[in-house]
Amino acid sequence: MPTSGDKLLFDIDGRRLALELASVEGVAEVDRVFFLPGGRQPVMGVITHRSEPVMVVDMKRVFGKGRYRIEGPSTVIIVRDGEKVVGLCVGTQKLSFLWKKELTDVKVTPSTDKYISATMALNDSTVEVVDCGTLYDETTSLLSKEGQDVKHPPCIK
Amino acid sequence: MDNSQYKALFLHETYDRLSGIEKGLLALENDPWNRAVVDALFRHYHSIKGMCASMGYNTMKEFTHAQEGLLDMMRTMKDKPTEQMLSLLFESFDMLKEMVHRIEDDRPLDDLDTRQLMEEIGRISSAEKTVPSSKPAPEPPTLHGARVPGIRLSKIMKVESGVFDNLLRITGDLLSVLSGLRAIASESGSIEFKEGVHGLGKSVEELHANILSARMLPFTSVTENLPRIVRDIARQGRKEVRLRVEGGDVTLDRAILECMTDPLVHVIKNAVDHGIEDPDERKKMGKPSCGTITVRAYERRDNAVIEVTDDGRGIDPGRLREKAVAMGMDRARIESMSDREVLMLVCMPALTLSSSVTDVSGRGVGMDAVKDMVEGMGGRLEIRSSPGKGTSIVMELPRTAMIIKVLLVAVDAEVFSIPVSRVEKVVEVERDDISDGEMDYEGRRLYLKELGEVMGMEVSERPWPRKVVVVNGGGGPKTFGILVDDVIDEMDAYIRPLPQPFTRLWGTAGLTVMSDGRPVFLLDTSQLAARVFGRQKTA
Repeated sequence: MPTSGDKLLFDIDGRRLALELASVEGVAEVDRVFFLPGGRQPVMGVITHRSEPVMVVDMKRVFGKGRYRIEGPSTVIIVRDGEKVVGLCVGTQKLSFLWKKELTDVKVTPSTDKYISATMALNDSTVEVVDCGTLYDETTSLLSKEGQDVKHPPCIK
Repeated sequence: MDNSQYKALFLHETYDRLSGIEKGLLALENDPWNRAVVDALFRHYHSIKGMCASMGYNTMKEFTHAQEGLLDMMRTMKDKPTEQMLSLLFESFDMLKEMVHRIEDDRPLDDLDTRQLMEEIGRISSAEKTVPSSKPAPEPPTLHGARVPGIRLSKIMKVESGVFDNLLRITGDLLSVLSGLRAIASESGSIEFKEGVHGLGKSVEELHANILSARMLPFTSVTENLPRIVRDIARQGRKEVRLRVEGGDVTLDRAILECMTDPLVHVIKNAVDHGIEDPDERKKMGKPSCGTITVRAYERRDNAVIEVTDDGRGIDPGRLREKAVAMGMDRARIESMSDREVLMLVCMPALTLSSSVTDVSGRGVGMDAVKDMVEGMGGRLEIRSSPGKGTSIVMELPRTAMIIKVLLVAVDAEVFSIPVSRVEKVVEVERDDISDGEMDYEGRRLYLKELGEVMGMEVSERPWPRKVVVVNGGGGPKTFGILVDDVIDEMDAYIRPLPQPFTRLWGTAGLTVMSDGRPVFLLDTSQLAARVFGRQKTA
């Protein structure tokens, strides 16, 4: 339960979520996310970061209601856990930080929620720490390796 | 026999050996009793002799043979090597080095006078067998003498293969940038800029060609260990198998060969273990007791084909059909498949016709991995078999990896790339040209598929006219059309192997990153063909 380090904070539909800052490889502002063959929701698509392709997951789909539509510059947080790299789209919101020194005396409780490793009770709110490893494993397992079922009406008449 | 293509390998290996000899002779001078050094020296000379024989450098072979003889004698001597012997070896070593330099520079060896040294070696060797020689040692080399060894750096360099991977990646990035510059230049009114881009293009393309050439290795690089593998498996299964390798001089990119090693071994293991019958069975069938496996490489257009053919029992399509049905596949669909299509079912995981599972293989075990590997490299796999006569596994692969010519096509706002080698033609079509998902093409009906649809995109009705990319999916009459919005460009693309988690994404064979950072997936035309012709659904 790695909750002792600095955190990157963002909000999804009233939920305050945190990422271990040590696992954040970068924050990209993107105008669009490209189509990823075989990608299914909550996978939004793919972007490149430092010339490498990165799968982007819609955090609103995972932790909130509805989904993000990229119609202007949107924020994608790129997190790395060993070889696993994933981009987390958090819409157009501004990010904030929770520093290690602010976490002393904070009560941390392990969580059994999907994609949440722990919850932290701060003065006025609860912060949920995202389990990026599980999120990566679950979302990549959705990537189709056998081709899409045709769900859309063919354009060829 | 023209061995010039192996010269670089010969020089590389020989310089390594010479370096070992020089160190060994120096060590022996300090410690003449050290038999381990003598043994190591003997092995160096012996290897050089063997390589000279293979390359046809007879003068050098004979000269090395003489020194090897002297070393062999030293191995059996009760006394330590004399100073005279060591001096003679040093002198001979200098001559040997001169020979290698001459080979490197394509200069003849004929005018090198080795007679005196050879006679001296012969004399010492024969004298040693009778009585110890009393002749004084030759004068040590002096600065004024003719044979003072100089310092010369080899023209052959050892370079980590990763360096070439990086060079190729950088060249790929350069080509992407170049592609962008060319687009700007075509719109620009500046002659100087156009000429600059043209000159840059020529240099980058030359660089690319040179790097590709440096990465090429002969097919023999992966076949050297095969005889031993075949021997071991054959003995284990009490079979008699002869291995023939043809086309060893066909060259492929190192990365392709590296990926091919495991599939090749898989296929050969299958052939020995389950293709070739045991000697008694073969005799009963009127075949020679010794089976033959032929591994053959040859070029087909820009590709290399590797065929592994055995003259064993072959695969019975009828049994394969029964097995597939027993595994739960739809009987009607299986019955409608041609024998050729049925044979490809051996690439389904867990489908094997072998009645026994051995330590080595079962027909079908690993064939799914072989197919994935071949297709993952942009190649295709085909199986031909005649019951009772044998089986051929045909693997067609690109000869060069990573940078290939692609056609960029657009569907809505997305861009995909298709290997140009798979594109027959691009045709503009109106809606009325298409009926029932087909169109007339060169006097026949051509199957069409919406690229957006087949890739699973949510695409609304597109404006007409549109473009049909006529693609050859490989493996017989597999020509089909991909309907796209537009064909954007043709370019040299640096294709990256798909990293995690994108490996084995359906319909894709690689990825290129454009100069503006856009990721573009390379379409796997074999998988698209399978989808178009319905094979994917059966598998």
